[in-house]
Amino acid sequence: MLASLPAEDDGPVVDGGWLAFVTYYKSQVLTQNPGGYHIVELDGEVAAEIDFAQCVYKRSEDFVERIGHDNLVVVRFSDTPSSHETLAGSAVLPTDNLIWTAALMAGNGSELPWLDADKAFMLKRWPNFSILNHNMKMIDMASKLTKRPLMASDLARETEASQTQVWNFLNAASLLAGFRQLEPGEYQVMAPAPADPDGRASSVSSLISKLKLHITKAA
Amino acid sequence: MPEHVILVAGPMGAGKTTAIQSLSETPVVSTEAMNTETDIADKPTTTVALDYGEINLDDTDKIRLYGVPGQQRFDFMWRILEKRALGLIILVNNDTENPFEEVEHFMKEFSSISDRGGLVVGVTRSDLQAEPAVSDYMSHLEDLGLSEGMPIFTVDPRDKEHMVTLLMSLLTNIQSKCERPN
Repeated sequence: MLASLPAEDDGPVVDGGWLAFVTYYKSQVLTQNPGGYHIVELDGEVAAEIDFAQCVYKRSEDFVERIGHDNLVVVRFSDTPSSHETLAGSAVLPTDNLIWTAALMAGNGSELPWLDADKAFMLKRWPNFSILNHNMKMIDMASKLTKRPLMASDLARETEASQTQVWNFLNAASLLAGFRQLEPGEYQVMAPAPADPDGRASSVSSLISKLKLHITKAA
Repeated sequence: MPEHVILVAGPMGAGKTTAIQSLSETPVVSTEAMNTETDIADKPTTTVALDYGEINLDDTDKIRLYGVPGQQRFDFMWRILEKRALGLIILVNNDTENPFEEVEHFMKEFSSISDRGGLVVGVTRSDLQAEPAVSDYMSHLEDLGLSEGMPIFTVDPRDKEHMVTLLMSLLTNIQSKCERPN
């Protein structure tokens, strides 16, 4: 147990919006991994309970519907699990799912305070998209960033994503393991991708486009 | 009609047949027989040849899905199929005895596909057995130098959305590898 572990009678550890929540997560949870339970209130009502030590959380049935960029987020620490009826019988989900969503809400299309638009980023690991809100642009961005460092502007160009989409992705990925923000001397600026002599990249690109369209039609 | 072959491999009981059923738009051709190795996978039947399914993209393009039987005695099929394959989905059930070894085994058996960037791993049954976590798989494979830039997701093979996400990640990864092979 660390000396700075929050106590139940210390008041909320987070009292603001989603930016306050992710800032607390990045500065406190990631560095200290507190035990206990973090009870999350959205707009005054209990919405979730997080067990960071076990990397899981429970949430209310209407949690997804209640999420929004303007939520008032209050988080209180507890030594014991919540007995709130809202969370009774809730499914247990990985905390990455909550943190990812929180980052999307906090940034709202602009970079979070710890990200620098003049630096390059890289992913050592793919996000586990099965448990995360995602779209094809995010899959594409993960594919690029796991291959080489890219600045946000380059990532937008290579994936034809908007700046909003890029920052949403980078914000969320920045809170997962394997994300790196690189100093200028830590990477080489690479030339644009060479021509596709055997046509394989183009063939796969065409396949992906058709599959995307096919899935969209089937939905 | 251009054909794109995707293999689904993994140990017995990982959910390969189920995964192809989730993705396929045509009735899956399945070759099942009584399972005589219930100590390995507690299920009544097992695939003894190939599972086959299709995704018809349009009048000119089709994705062929082949489920590769997991038993070593069928490895002659693996050699034939990997030559034709665009990519490989490895499914591993998290509650198997040695999940890391299973993933390593199939990665090595299909190393030519892996070298082309055409590999993703789906960890099944993690709702029944949470450990090892995806991060543990990644750490293990990173230590062996095997996982660079490879998607590893927890998936439910019964969930079409999970399987589509895995498939799209596979194809996108192949595309990125094609653009920058080195």
